Formats: sequence, structure tokens, C-alpha cells
Amino acid sequence: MDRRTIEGLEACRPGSDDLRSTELSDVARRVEQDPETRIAYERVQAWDASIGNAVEQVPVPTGLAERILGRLEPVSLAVRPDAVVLAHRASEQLAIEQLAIEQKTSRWSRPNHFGSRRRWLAAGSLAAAALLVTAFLSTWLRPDAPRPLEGLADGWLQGLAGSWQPAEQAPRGFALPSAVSSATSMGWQQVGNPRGVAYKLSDGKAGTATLFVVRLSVAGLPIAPPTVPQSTTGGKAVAYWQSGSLVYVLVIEGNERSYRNFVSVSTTPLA
Amino acid sequence: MAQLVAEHHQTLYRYAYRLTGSVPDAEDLTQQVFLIAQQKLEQVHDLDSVRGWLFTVLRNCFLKGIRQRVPMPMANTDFDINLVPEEILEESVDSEQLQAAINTLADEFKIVVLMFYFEHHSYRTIAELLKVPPGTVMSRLARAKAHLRRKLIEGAEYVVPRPDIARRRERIG
Repeated sequence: MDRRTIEGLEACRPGSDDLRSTELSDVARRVEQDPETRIAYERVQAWDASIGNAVEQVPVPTGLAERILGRLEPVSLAVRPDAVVLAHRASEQLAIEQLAIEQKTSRWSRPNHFGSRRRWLAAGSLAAAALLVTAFLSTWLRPDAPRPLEGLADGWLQGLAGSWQPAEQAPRGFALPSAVSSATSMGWQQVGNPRGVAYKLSDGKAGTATLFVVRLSVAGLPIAPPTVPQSTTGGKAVAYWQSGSLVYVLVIEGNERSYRNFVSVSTTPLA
Repeated sequence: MAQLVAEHHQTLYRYAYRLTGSVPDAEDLTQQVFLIAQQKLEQVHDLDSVRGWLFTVLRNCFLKGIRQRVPMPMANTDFDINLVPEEILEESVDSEQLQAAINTLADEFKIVVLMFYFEHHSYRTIAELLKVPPGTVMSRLARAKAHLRRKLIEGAEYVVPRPDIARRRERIG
């Protein structure tokens, strides 16, 4: 039997009409006319049917779906106004987000053990991040304390990469809120901790802004964009609000007037 | 997302296991597919094509995650009609023995053979998805299947041997 015939026989899926395809017409002719080829075809078909069944016989580990969902679902922060509890939960969330990001960026085949240097470095950064969050929340919950989200946003701004991905490919879970629908999205990129997305926005004139949409639920934030930004210092107007498990932080190059070019203020929740 | 996981995690895990040959690697690979799905599922416009899309993500993750390793040589991949049994007792095809045979395939052969057996794709579709010529897929498929057959025939207790081979064995014995 020649190689072309053998490859043709082996390419036919069991129980299919693959042999009737025009590309395999010469092989079909041989199967019809040559008894040896016909026997080979029938045996290969039977073999493939058997292997095809066997290949799907794999036991699935117990609790796999729960483990998968457990790593996918975001962990919401408590609504209790207690800085210690909030900071503790926030650090837990950071740890989960960090692990998720690490897993996403790592190869699937990397073994899960705590012996690697990278793992220890990650643990160190997590501890530092947890301390920062503790300090941040402890300060923030004091009535006379300055609003710290601006500082957090500064850190995010500095961490942004130069390149932006096309706006139409932005992740659905971090969609632009309707409150900034008058602005045009010029692109997006991922934000690491907490997990989220940064959008580059334009007001259609000369104004630009960056909107951070991060998965973080904290009590006390407004549920819609404020009528005036919470902060207008250093040539930037910063506003933040929350909807569900997402926090929106809008950083605009400019002042309160620039802010109005980007945000449609309403008395009802918009995000 | 929960519905997506509920509907597809078992199939994806089975496929992942056949590709990786390892329970923890298969679980990691399955997890990675759903992490990507969570971010990029909006790319799928037709809900009927979700399964195929997930399979594609899984294959790509597998190929990206492959360790640099030297594939085991596939010694003799010629077609031999005597190695294709006349009758197979289906219930006794051992899953682990099959996996051991799959593990000895080089990855480019493993992908093709699992797209054929697991995804039930035609050689033409496999060629389109992998962006390789159909002739290459046919060649890899034939060689991979011949290799699997040889490996499986070594533990041939589930195969009813052809009578002439059985008689020959008896004479030798």
C-alpha cells in the first residue's frame, strides 16, 4: 500500500464520510476496488472508534469546579467600618490577586511549591503591600485625614506602560461606566494590584484623562461620580466612586472645568 | 462564568490530562483556560462555538507552556496492517496505558492526534486551525497513530490477535 493511501485511510474519522471528500477520491477508489485496502480501512476505522472512546475516559478530580471558581471569583471587602478588619481583608485580596496574576503570567507546568526565590520575593512584596494597605485604610477612615485614593492613583499612573491596547478589546468585566460616556476611550491596559483596567480617555478636544476601574469594594465611597472632583491639586482633578465590586478613579489633567468635560453628573447611580 | 465552568470543566480537564499526562498539570491548565475565558470571553460572539474556543485556548496554553524538552524518538512509524487488530475488546482498553503511549509522542504529533480523537476534527479543519498544510496533518496523523498502535500493541492483552499470528506464537512457544 502506498503512503498516500495509508495517510488517506488514517485521516478518515471513524463513522464519518471523510472518505467521500474529493481530496480522498483516489483512496476511496482503492478501498472500493482493492480487498486488502478495504480490510485495512475497516480495521483502522474500528481501531479509531475504540481509541476515540478510550481517550475520553479520564476521571475528573473531585471538587475541581469549586477550586476553579474559587480562584476566579473576586473577594469583596467587608462593609464594616473597622480599619483593621478592612486592611486585613484587603491584604487577603491583594494576596489572591497577586497569586492570580502570577498564575496567569506563569507557565501552567510550574510546580506549586514555596521554595522558589520568586515566590519568596512575591511574599515579601505582598507583606509590604499589606502594610501599605493597612496604613492607607487606617488613615482614610479618620474623618480629618486627607483622601488617600489620589495617592493610590498616582502609583497606578506611574506604573502605566507606554503602549495601550485597542479600546474595542477592553475586558467586559471592567467596562467603561456610563458616567463617562461623553468621553472617547483611546485604549486600555491592565492594572496589577488590585486587579483592574486603566483607560486612556479623550474629551474630543485637547483634554485627556485616565480612568482606573479596579475590583475593590470599600465602604464609604459615593455610588456615582461627584458633582465636583474630590481633589483638584497639582494640576490634576481626581474623582472616585464605586459601583458593585468596582471602584472608579478618574484622573484628569486639568481642573474642575476639565472634569465636567468628561463626566456626566447625575443624582442617580450611573456606573 | 459559573455556568461556563459547570458545563465545560470536565471536558477541558480530560483534554488537558491527555495533553499533559499529569493530574496537577491538567488542573493548572484547565484553571488557566478559565482565567483567560474570564477576561476574553467577549471575543466569542456565537455561544455555540464556546466549546471550540475553549479548546483552542487550552491548546495554545499548552503549547506556550511546554518545557524545552527533547521529544522521544518515534522509532518506526510505518503503517503495518498486522498491527491493526481485527477486533478490539473496547472495555479493556486501559486509559493509563493509552496515556503512557500518548506521552511518548512529540508535541506536534500529540496535538494533531488529540484534535482528531478528542475534538473529532477532520484533517482539513486541523490544518486550518494549526495553520499547517493538510498534507502535513495527514502525515503527522498517520505517523502518530502508527506509533500509538505499536506502543499499545506491546501490552496487547485487550487485543484479540489474528489467528495466524496466534498460531505462529504457539509454534514459537
